[in-house]
Amino acid sequence: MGEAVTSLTKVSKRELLEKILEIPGDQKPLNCMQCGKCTSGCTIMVLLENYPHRVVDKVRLGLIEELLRSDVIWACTQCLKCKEACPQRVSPVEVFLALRNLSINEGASLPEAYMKMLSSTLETGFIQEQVEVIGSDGETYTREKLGLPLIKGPKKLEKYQLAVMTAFEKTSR
Amino acid sequence: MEYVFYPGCTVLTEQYGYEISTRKVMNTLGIKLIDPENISCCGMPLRSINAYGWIYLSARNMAILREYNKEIMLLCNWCHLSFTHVKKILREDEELRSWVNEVLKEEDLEYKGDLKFKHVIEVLYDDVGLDNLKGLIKLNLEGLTFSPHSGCQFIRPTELGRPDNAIEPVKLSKLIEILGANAKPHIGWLECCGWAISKTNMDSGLTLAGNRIKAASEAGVDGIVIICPHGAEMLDKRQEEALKIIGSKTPLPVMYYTQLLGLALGLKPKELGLQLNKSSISKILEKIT
Repeated sequence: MGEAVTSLTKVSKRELLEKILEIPGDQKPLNCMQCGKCTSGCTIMVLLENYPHRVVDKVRLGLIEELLRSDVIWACTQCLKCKEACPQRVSPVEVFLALRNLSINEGASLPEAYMKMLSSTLETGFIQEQVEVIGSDGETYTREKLGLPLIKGPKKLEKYQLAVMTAFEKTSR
Repeated sequence: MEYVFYPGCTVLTEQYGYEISTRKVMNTLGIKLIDPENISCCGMPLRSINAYGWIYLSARNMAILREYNKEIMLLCNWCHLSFTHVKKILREDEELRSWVNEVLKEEDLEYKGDLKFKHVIEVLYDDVGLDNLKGLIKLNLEGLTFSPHSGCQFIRPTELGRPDNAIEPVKLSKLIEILGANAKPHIGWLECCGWAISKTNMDSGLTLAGNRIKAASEAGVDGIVIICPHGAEMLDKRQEEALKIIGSKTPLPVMYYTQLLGLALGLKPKELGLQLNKSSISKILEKIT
């Protein structure tokens, strides 16, 4: 007998599903009736053959472990069409976001761009540092040169950093 | 009229054209903008990492902005959806609200919950009003046709209450039309710019951006009008790469609505930061002057 690709008997299934349900958001995978409307309108489906209804199906069955190791959960552009299309008020996009949270909580490393955004947000308050923009006239522009006011970011930076880190370290209610 | 001005990370750190054109336009309309202190990212781009971190960041900014006792004006679709969603979560979930307030104490802040905020497009459409705006137009943009790009979070998800209709948004189109120009809905006009997926898969993001630009070109418009800095990052800043990846050789001007409105109000391109746009804006300017 060949081994099943997906094990239907793992005991930790319910536990991981509970974790997905507990993450704040409107994911509601258990409402899904597999109509496929989300997939039929998915922006990414045509590009990367990602099928949101299949991901939601796996989640509601508790077959989450394999998803946590898969790139599939990052293949979503958050256009929100799936949530808009669902007749059952499932939010596949938020199922994807919850899976990303859970994979990171379970030890997966952050994609580089997210790591950068998080560290910049901690250091400066914003997802990236101010950049210089080269204009069509060949000049280099900064906020200052454009006469834009200084950015008034977090005032008490250390307290801000401590609070934000506390929030990002929270993994369950 | 006055608003507390919360442009969001991408505008403050890179999309200066959106901020400068908004400031100039509001000044022309006699609307005062107050620059708040102590602000940070709304947290939405970091929701992929940790939902509690996202909620905290939106809550902290809403707590700070609430202290001004005035309505807030936002420029970014993501910030707008983030505040909308977190406000709802914290209204319905007492446990989370008390957790948020526990952590906020470390920053001497408190989340009270009744913040009023609007996207700049709502300010122009709902507060200033089409008729008032129309009366101020100095340069009629007749003969120009634009593809309106409201952006995903401005129209979806309906369930959370969005500034415009998900099936056939009208606000941006009507705001374009009062300038004398045409707004043309077309196949692909509500498609995604690809910003979010570009963070983990740049080629997919660029393909979406390229397809969105191509769809507008094929509809025969003179340019795309955007209202979100993420749309600018993909459709304007990265347009060359986006067109290359889909094998298109047809560039298309992309500008913020506030820049277009500014031109119609008689402001000069440089006052509106149009030299910062990467797409072929000169094609529009030539037709106007």
